[in-house]
Amino acid sequence: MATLCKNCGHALVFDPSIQKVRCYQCGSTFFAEEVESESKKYVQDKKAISMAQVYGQDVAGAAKEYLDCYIYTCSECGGEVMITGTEVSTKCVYCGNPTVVFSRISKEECPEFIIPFAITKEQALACINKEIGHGLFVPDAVKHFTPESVHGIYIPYWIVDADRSEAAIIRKKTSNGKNTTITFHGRAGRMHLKNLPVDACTMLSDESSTRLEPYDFSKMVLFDEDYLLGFYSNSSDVTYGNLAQAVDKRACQMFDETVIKSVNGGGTKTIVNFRGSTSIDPDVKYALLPVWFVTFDYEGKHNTILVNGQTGKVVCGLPIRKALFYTLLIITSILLVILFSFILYHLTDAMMGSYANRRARKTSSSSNNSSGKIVVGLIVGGVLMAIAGVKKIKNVIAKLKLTQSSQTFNFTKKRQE
Amino acid sequence: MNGVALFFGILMGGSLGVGVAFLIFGSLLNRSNNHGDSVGENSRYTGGIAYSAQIDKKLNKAENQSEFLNTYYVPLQMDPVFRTPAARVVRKLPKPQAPVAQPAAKASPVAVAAAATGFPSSTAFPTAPASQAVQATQVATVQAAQNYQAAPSYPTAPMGYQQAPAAPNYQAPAAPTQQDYENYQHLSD
Repeated sequence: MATLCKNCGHALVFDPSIQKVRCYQCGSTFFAEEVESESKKYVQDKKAISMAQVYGQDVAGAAKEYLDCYIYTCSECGGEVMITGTEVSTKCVYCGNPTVVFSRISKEECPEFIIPFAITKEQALACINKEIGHGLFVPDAVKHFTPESVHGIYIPYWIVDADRSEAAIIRKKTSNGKNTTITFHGRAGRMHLKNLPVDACTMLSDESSTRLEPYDFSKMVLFDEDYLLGFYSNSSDVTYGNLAQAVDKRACQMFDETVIKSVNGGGTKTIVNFRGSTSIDPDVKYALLPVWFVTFDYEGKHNTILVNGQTGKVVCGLPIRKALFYTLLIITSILLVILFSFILYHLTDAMMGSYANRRARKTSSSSNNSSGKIVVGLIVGGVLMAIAGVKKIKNVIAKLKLTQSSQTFNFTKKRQE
Repeated sequence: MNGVALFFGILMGGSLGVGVAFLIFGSLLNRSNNHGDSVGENSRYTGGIAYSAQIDKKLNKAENQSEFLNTYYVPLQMDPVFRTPAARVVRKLPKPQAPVAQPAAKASPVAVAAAATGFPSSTAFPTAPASQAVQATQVATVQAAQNYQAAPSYPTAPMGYQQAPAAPNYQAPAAPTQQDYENYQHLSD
């Protein structure tokens, strides 16, 4: 239901720029906590009816995917507002007024905290333009894209304190010329994690939500339904088992990264064996965190750019100007090969000449060994650099796939405008 | 022209040239087309690891590694920070001294209090030390009841953990008689 202005009766909307709810009809502003709304007390859950009840049993069988849809009545215009899955707030498709399904908040577990949107829609778009405007390999059509939809959505998160206990064996492999040394190092200890955010929405991929971090939890406030006005929101749909699994995975990853850094010296370090467990503080906080979802189409594919609604951090992988990229890569490769070959040919020639002179004088052959090492080192170095470059390219392609994933697109798109 | 030098020059130059080109363009592409790749840094959520062991030698053999894991992980596992305190306390409680042959009328005040609360004595008084239980006076009974009141309110029971039921309205049993006291003292000796 819309929360109405007590001065003029028009629907109120939360304005991130002033951190208050605003009436765009009469210009009144109120703090979210101050708004006394009958809607908050109104138990609308009794009025919620399923699609099957509305349209009869005949279509219910054909539309099983709608079983989780519920229909509410807009308090502004009386139109039907359809709510799917875990949605908590949406907009009326007819009058466009913000709608918060208060009964859902009370029916599902009510969030304890919320970080209100601090970035407006315009600011979010400005952040995106600033971020992608100078990309060398970003197509012009993408640089100046027209957003198909811009949705501000509150994503449910669990804020968790946890404790990771682990004993691990780290293998360190160091190479020095022909000699390879392998050593094993043992580390055991405990790591305490505080305020670790875990995405509580199965419809949004964990990778996307993790990349939206960090959030400033000092700006977190007690939950009030009026912060949702004008935005979309979902409620948590993860089980405690999912949560524990996600926390364990993340804690294990963080512990392993730290433990590997604790082994001194260079070389390749990997964890070969470990025993560990993660215990979670039962006092888990349930919070809604703000995210802007901006969708646009490019070459027939849907792209969704995410913007952290508090900090303005832009998260996306963008389409690539493949022709330009591969042309430049090949040309540069050829030029560098010619350049390095020329330099190294002369160096090798000079070294061989020097070696031949010394051999004629029957001096030590130690320089022969060092020359061999240089040759092998340069070849191995080149191969390693190529592998690192390919990994970076693969990473960009993986992030592009995430931006173009239908899961993220459906999450934001299947909402009433 | 030295053929061998030319061969090695092209081999090294080719490898290095292609490697550098891929690295440069990979980095450029990553910077241009991939945004927001950084996740929350570990330091935001943790102050680091409190190590209980850091061993850099004598771990080459598999049995030594396995011994290390067992030796140092088990103590950590035995004492996690967020385990249910109630469960821990109950597990640590000594088995109650069995007043097996005692008739009901001669039950200790501790057992009387436990019966009044509907709880077995091991869970009714999780924090009462043995020496306190020996003082079987009315004061001790009331104190035990207070301990019981505190027991179900452990703040850190995990989600899903079946908490102890809410404390029933405790009614202190009648003060033990002198006869009870003497019997109990006799038992505790």
